[in-house]
Amino acid sequence: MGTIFALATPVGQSPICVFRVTGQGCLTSLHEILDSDVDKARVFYKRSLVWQGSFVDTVGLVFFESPSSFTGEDSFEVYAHGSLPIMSKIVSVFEGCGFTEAGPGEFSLRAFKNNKISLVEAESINDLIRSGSSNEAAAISGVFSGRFESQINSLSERIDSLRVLVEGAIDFSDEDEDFESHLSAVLPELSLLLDDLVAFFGGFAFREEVFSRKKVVIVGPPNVGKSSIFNRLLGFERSIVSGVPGTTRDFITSGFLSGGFSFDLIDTAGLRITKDDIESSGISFAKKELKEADGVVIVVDHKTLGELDNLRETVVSCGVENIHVVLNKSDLEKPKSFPGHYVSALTGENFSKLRNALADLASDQPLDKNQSFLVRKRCSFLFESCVEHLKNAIGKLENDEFSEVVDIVAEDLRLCRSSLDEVVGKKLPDDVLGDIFSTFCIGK
Amino acid sequence: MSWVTFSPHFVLVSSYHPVESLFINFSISFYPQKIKIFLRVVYIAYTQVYFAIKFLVALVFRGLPTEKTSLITITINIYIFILLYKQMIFEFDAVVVGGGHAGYEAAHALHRKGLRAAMITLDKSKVGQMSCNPAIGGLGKTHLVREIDACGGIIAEATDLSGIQYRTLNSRKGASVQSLRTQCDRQKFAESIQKILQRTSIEIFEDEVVDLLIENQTVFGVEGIKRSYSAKTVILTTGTFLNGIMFYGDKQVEGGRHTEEASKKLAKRLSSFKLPMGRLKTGTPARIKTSTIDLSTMEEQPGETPTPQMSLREKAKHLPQISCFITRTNTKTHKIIAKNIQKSAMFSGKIKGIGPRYCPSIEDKVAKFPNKDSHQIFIEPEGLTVDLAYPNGISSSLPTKVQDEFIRTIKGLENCEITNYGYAVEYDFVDPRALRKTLELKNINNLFLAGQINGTTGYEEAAAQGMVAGINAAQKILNEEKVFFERSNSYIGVLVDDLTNHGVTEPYRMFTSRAEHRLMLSQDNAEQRLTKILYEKGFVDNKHLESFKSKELAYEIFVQENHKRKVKIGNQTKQLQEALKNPQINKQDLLTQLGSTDQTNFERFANQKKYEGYIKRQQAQIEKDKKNHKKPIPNSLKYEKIIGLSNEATEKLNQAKPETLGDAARLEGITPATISTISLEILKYEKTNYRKAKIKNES
Repeated sequence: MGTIFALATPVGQSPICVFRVTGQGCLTSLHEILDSDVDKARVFYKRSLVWQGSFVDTVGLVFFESPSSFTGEDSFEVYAHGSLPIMSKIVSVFEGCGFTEAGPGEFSLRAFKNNKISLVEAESINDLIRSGSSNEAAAISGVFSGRFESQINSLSERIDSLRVLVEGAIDFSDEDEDFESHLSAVLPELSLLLDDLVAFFGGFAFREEVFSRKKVVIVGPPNVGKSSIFNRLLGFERSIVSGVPGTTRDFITSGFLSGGFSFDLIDTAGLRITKDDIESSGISFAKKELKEADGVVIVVDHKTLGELDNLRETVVSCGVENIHVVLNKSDLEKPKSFPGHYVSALTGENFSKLRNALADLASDQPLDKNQSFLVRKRCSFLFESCVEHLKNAIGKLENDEFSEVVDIVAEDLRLCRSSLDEVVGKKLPDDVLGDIFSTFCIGK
Repeated sequence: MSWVTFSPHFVLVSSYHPVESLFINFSISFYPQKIKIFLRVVYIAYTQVYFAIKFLVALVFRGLPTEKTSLITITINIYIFILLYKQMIFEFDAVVVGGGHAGYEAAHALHRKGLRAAMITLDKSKVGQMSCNPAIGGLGKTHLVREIDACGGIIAEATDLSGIQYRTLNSRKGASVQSLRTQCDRQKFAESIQKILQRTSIEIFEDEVVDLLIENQTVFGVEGIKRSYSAKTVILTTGTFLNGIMFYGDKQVEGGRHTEEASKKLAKRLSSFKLPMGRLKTGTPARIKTSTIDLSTMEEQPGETPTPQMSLREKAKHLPQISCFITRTNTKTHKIIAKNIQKSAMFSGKIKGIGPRYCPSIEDKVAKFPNKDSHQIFIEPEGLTVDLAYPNGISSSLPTKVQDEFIRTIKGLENCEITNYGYAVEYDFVDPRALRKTLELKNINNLFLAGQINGTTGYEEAAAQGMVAGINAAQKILNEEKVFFERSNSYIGVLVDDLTNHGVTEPYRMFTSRAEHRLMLSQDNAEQRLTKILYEKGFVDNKHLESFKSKELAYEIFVQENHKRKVKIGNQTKQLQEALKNPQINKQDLLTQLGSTDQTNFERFANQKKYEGYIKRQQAQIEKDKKNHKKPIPNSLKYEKIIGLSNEATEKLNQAKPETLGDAARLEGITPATISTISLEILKYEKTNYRKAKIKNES
């Protein structure tokens, strides 16, 4: 595996930008690009970054030696000034060293490959990066820190120890050890285990639900400045903004952070009758988007105030309840009575009010503080089957003679345990046997 | 005849034709392979000419015979000639090295397919010998025995011919985990096997195999001390004889079994193939004269009545049945053992091999569980006519003096006479991960390994492997499809799969908990699972198939007639098939209500109903797995190059070289995520190959 690098901070102007570099042997390149050598790992150095005799930037630098790094390989981090020309210069320096730019998730992948993190952890790092709220981040770190795995581990160990008793009673019934007498302990422990499992699973939040973002759609007559509002809400240029009506022909979706929650904003071509085929197909899409929207921002300006009622009707007919009406271009003219916000995409007037109003949309589904783990839906199926088999086993034991159903109970426990395989790894029959041998005196 | 003194084995070979022994001795000591074969051809030509001349001389001097007697004599002569001719060209379809439980099942499978098999053993009288305790079956093991029986094998038949006590273990538990165990008359068992083999075309030779004949990674025969044997396939079933060393306390004796020699030369030869090999150990207890045991002080354990039978096939005629007895060790025994524990070969560090955890020596038990002040001992009779008992539970490698001392502290054994002392035996085994599912070595064609040589323990495990190797050797010789046993259709499948995928860390013994499809695999349904399949492959004869079919028919009729019949449970009336879903139901009462005496079919129906839901689920899973898991992994797939595999997984996959995705999935530490990564990679691999092929075709 070659050396890869990546910008760890967002592209754009900022006081400091951070580059991370990893790859076995990448540290040998350091003396080529620094004015003087660095000798101690995990120490912050201030050095000049030089390339082919010319000065690039004064940087901070830390290096890590394999295997004591995030990826398990030799790595270093460069803290440079956060201007675009410097960033692009540094990128060309790294490329000159023969490093390649990392693909998405490649650092985590290397860490996973070198057994530094588990797959579940690798997945959660990705989520941590994408997470929009502090509650989400905490739940993800619950998984990442291994707390999740350690809890499942202890649950599965309890299942394992029950299996030792049950399998022992089957395979070693002709032995000296009186397994039958241990079986009376199985039922009460099973019930306890069931309670604990259910409580544990109650602490799950499913990332598919948490990450399903609220959809906010912006509609309005052409050329009222919908795209400008969209860009203003996002904080940077995204839609193509022009003075020509109908410029926005496709939907532009972008993440929008407000009040710690994530949204999708959809800018639509205006809702109007058109002969332009491309645009009319855009409009039917817009209606479709409206039907799926959680909230709608209707934008008008002082010239198109008359269309407001029509628009509102269209939107309501699509089943949207949460509607915010916005009068743009408040810097030009403010009508006396208007049933909504006056805003100006140009000056930013009243945008904090609009943002707060939109944030209310999301706050009806906050992440429960008690939900301590954010996991994939796939996991929930596994846990459901785990609980189901446990319940089966308990049902059998409550109703029937143990010896009559011991093979069935054993099967349920096996299935129950194997639903956790994916998370905690397989328990092979030989391991169960091993536990039996180390716990009981077996053998003639 | 001074030339015979060339031979270091003169005594052994002198009973053979002098010309033959000349060639043989030369061939072993001096000549390379090709010359040996040339010499053999010369020898055969010589004998043919010799007979022909003799016949012609008779013809010239006496003319054509006219009397009937002469005609018969000539016919017999020609017949004998053909027989001799066949004997003299030692050319076989298969050579089975070893006459233990793996050996006889392997040879018999070849025989069932009509092939010419030779069995080479050190001692003909020891063929079919039970070298440890005189019992067949037990939990998980009976399943193997019945499966072998269902495939046409002979171990169950021999068990019934020699069984002197039968007991069903787990009789109160569910049908799938019940196991019949049979105590056998040790001598009778071996005799029965030998008798069965005598009825076949299998040729048994007393010889020691010292070398394998191999060219281009393909075996084509074996070299014995007496002669060489060429064969299309070779099956090695050498048990504990490879570099075997027996330990009696501080005394060490080379050998594979008490008073029997070890195979050192063959072990040396095998190790030259760079096979992954290791060392295991196992132990056996002292043997005691039954007449000197005070059985009256012990708990008697009689056999079951009516006496069941091991074979599912024909009705067995049982020998007279006798009891086993149970006694226990005590604190006095443990004190002696603890005091002398350093003298045990196991504890003095002389034995490096790993012993089975489920079969510890008495010194192991005392050391590991110091809180237990008593361990159970089964006194198993060795036979009806011999004055010998096997004290199961006190296997030991303590010095004989200490054994003398501690055994006599046990209740009932105070005045016993010990005929042989317990010992530990350490031996070489081949890591079974070097084998394919057919038990053929991956890197040497046509060479199969079966039994303890693969790191297993137990007669049943050995016999099962012997049969698998024999069957697949036969299929290979005849260029027919391989026979795979699946985890979902047999314990044999579990055994082979576990061995070839996971290898062994201790002598491998079958347990029911190893079979994840346990609920589907009961000792009673072995025929339903296997007989038809093996009939189609040609290993089950018509008679067996017919008897199986008639049983199935009887069951179908029983179900047809009874499943909807109304039965009373308390105040309720229910259909039989519904009533049986409740495991608490009094089955005997139902049977009386039906007015039927067909216990067997009733039980079968009851079990089918009881396990129905679970079996359906398992079958659905099996079908799903089959689709995914039968996918072969291309040999040239490079795990290192697959992005997303952990180093650990890559290492394991490279070591195990799984043949299919299913095999990979069963490896330890391989997660479902890894499997989906690999399956994607296979898909990619197939696509690029397809594209490459297409480009090639087009250009």
